[in-house]
Amino acid sequence: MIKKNKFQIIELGFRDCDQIAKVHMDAFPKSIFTIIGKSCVLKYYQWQFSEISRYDKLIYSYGIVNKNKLSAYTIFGKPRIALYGFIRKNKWFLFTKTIKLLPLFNLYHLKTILYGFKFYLKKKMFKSNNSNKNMVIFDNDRIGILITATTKDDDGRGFGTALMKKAEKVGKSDGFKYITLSVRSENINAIKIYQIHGYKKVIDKSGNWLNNEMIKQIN
Amino acid sequence: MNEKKNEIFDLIKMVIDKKNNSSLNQKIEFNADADIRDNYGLDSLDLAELTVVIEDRYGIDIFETGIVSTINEISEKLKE
Repeated sequence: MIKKNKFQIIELGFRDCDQIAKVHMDAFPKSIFTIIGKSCVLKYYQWQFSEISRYDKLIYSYGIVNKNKLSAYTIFGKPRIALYGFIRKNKWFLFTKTIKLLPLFNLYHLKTILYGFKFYLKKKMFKSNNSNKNMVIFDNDRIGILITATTKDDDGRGFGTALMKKAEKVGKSDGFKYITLSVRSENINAIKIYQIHGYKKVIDKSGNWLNNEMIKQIN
Repeated sequence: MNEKKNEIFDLIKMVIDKKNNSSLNQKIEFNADADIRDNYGLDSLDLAELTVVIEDRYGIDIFETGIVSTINEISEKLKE
């Protein structure tokens, strides 16, 4: 008798933010949002589902569940720079939390906070110079995987791969030409896995890797 | 059917050999119903390589339509 697969891929939405936040905190214990706390992680995902989705189905999310427990999730869609919108909307919340928790941050976190602040100012200037009213930047020919996370217990089961394939399939059926994702340069294993699955680094004319971005043609 | 399961097992051994850079020093036992991650110690990268070698041989992407965690489940996907 063949054992039936216990895990299922399901579509996620706003109602699942609590479980998504739990998986995020388990998968990324050192992320700034996790250090700030569950309220911040939850706020971020609630923002993803409520604010971005008002642009009419531009964000998709799927998860892997077993007995109603979420083990992994992915969020993907048209938004290119989603984080900016979140920082912009919640700047005072993030600012006060960051100041309060400053002693808990390490050098990497401080660098990321500085990067986030520079990014925010850059986009703010970009916005005032170009009168761009959108707080999220979109691409029309590509769909981007914004985040994929798997709980530590379920790491190595291929959940990330299955969710990546799901994103590719949805992107393909919705007519997108490319799918993109970002990966930290020190995450060598993840880079190798993406390369095995056909993703290539986005390189500029000088041969530098642009924004840690990887891309795959799907249509 | 059993032949296919043995072939999948051989491919798993091949991925493990490649990882260890040797010809299977550690003995592993065939168990079609065991979780391939837990039973054979495959990590995410090994699993990605296994996906590719299976796709090369059978022309089917085992993660295209869901999740597989045992040799039996992989074998079922190849039947679809």
